[in-house]
Amino acid sequence: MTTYFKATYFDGKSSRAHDVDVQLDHGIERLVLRGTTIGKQAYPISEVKVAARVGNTPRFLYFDDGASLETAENDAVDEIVPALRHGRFHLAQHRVESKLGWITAICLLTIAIGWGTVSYGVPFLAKQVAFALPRDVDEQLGQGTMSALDEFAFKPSTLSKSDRDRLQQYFQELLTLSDLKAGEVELLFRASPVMGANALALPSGIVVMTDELVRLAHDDEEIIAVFAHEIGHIRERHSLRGVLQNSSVALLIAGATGDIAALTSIAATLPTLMVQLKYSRSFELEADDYAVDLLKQREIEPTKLGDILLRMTEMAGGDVDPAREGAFSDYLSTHPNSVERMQRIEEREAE
Amino acid sequence: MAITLDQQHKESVVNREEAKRPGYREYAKQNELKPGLPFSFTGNAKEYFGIWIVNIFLSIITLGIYSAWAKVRNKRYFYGNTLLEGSSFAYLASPVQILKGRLIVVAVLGTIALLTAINPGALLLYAPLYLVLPFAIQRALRFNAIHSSYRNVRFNFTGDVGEAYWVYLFLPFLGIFTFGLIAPYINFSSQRYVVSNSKYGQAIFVFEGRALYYYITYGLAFLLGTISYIAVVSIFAFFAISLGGKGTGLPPSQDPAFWLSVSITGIIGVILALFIYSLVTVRIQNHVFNNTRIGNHQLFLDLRIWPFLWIRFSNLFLIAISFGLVIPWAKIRMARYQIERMSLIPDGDLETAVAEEQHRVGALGDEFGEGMDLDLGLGV
Repeated sequence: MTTYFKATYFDGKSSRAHDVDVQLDHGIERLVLRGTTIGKQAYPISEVKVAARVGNTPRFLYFDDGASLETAENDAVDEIVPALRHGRFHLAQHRVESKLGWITAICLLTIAIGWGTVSYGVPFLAKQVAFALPRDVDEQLGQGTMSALDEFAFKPSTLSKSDRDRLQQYFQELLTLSDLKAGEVELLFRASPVMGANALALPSGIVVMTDELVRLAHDDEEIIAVFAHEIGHIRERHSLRGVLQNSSVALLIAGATGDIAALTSIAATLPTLMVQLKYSRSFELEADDYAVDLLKQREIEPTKLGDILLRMTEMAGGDVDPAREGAFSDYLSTHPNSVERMQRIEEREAE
Repeated sequence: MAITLDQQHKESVVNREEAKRPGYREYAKQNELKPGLPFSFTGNAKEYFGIWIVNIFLSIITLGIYSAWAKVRNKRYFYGNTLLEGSSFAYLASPVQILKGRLIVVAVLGTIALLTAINPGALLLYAPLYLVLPFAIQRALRFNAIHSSYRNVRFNFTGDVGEAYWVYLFLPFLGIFTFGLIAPYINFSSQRYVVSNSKYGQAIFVFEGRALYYYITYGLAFLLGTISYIAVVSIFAFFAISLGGKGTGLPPSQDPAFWLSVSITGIIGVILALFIYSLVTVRIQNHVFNNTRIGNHQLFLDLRIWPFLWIRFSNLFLIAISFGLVIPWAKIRMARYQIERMSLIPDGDLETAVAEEQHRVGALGDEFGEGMDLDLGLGV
C-alpha cells in the first residue's frame, strides 16, 4: 500500500513555500518528497515527527533537520501514523473528539461527574477538613464581623433587662443540652431596622437576635426554637465549611476549564453563585435538623420552629401557600422555602 | 494553495504608502475593503465543541494534570485555524513544560489562599509575588513567542527583564501616587514593550503607536463613565421613589420593590460598563495593530465598537444561562470576528522572512515562568 498527499515544504531557514508531492511506501519506511523547486528528497520514517491531529486544522510533519511539511490532507497523514512509534493515542483522541456519539456520552458523563462532585464530593471533604481543624479557625474567620455589623446594620437593643435576662437564661439551658461548651457561644441582642426580624450565627460563636424577631414571636418557645437553629449553625461549623466549599468550587471551575480568569469572568458568576446558594440552603436544613433534635430534648414541640419561620416569610411578603409549586426563585435563595422546611421538620419530628 | 502572489491577487493588494494616505481608511471602511492580504479563520463551533468537552473531561478525571495538554490542544486549534496566504500558524509548546509552570503557580497560590482563609494576615504574602511578577511576565512572553511559528519560522521575544520591571512594577507603583493619571501611559508602555521586542525570524516588529492616542481614548472612557454613573444613580433613584413610594413598610432588605430597582439598575450598569470596555478595547487594539510593522509588512485591523459589544454581551449572557455549554461557540465567534477584521499589507511577498539561529529553550533550566502560560498577548 502507498499513501500519497500534497503538502507545502518549508526548510526551516526561510518562509519560502515549496509545493511538494509526498509518498510513503508502507514497508519501505521512507517518506519521499518531490517538488519542482526542491527536487526529490527522502526521509527515513524514524526522522519524522507528526503533530497530533486537532480537528481539521492543517497538519504539520517535522523533520530532524529542522524542515517541516504543512498539509490539509489529515486523513492521508493519519494513514502513516501507524508506521511511526508515536501518535496512536492522539489518533484515538481525535476519533473520540469528532464522533457525535462519543461527544454526547462524554458531555453527559462530565455533567454527571461535575454535579456529583459539587453536590456530594466537595461538601463531604469540606466537612472532614473543617472538623479536623481546631475551633480557633472559626473564630479567626469571624473576626471583625460583629463590629462591622454594629456599625452598618445594628442599633442597641431596646428590650427590657428582664426580657433579655430571661431569654439569656433559656439560651444557656439549651447550650448545656448541646455538646458545645458554655464559653464557646454567646448571645447578643440588637435592634435592626435594616434586617428586620432575623437571627444570625457568626463563626466566632456569637448568636445575634434582633428585637424585631423577639416581637414577632408569639411565645418564648418559638424564640428557643430559633436559638436551637442558630446553635446548630455553630455546632456544625457552617461558616468554615462554607468558606472551604465555596473556594473549592471556584478552584474546580478554574481547573476544569484551565482558565484562572474564569474566576473573575461575569459569565462564571451565575453558576458559581447558584452552587454557593445551594450550599447555603443545605446548611439551613442541617441546622433545622439539629434544632429539631435539641428541641425534643428540651421537650418543646419542634413545629414551633416551623411556625416562626412561616411568620418570618409572611412578614417578608413571601408565599406560604402549602400547595405552592416549586419556583425558579427557590434556586436563587440563601434559605430553602419555608413551607418545605416546615414539612421536613414535621417529618423529622415523627421519626 | 496560494503560495506566491499571483498577478490578479497583487492588484488587489494596496501597498503600505497607499494605505497610509489620508482618507484611505474612510474609503476602505465605506467600501468594506480590507487592504492587503486578509487573515481568515476556519474554525467551527461543532468541531471545537468535541475538542473542548474531551479536554474538560480528561482534565477532571486526571485532577487537573491534563489541563496542560488541554491548553496546548486548545491553542493549536485556534492557531491552526488562523490562515494567512494559505499557511496556518503553529503552536509548538510542550505540555510538560506548561504542567511544571502550572504546578508551581497552583502550589504557591493554593497555599496563600488556604492561609488567608485561616488568617487574613496571610494576604501580606501576596506582596513578594508582585516582585516576581514582571520576571514571570517577561518569561511568559518569551515562552509564548518562541513556541509560535508561521511557515516554519518561529517568532521570538527579546524584551529584557529590566524593562519588564519598569513597565509592570515601577510604573504601576508610580501610578498609585499620580491618581491614575499615568494609567494610559502604563498601558501604552506595556504594549510597546510587548510589540517592539517581538520578532518574526529575523524581522523586527516596529511599534509606532502614540501615547496621546491612549490618553484620548481613556479620557473619552472617563467622560462616558462619569455620565453613565450619574445616569445609573438617577435611574435607581427614579425606581426607588416610584416603586418604593407605595410604602410597604418593610425593611429594605425584604422589600421586593427595592430588589427590583437594584436588578434593573444593575443590568443597565453592566451594559454601560461593557460599552465603555468595548470602546477602549476596540480603539486600543486597532491603534496597536495599525501602528505595527513586521519588517516592512504593515498590519491592519478594523474592529468596530457595536459588533464587538454585541458579540461580547450576547456571549456573556448565553454562557451564563447555559451554564457554560455554549463557551466553544462563543469563543469561535469572537475569534472569527477579530481575526477576519485583520490583514497584512505586504511589502513584496511573504517568502523572504529568514529564520534566526534556533535558541535552545529551557537550557537555562529555569522552569519558573517558562511554563507560565499567562495570556498577555494582544488579544487576537
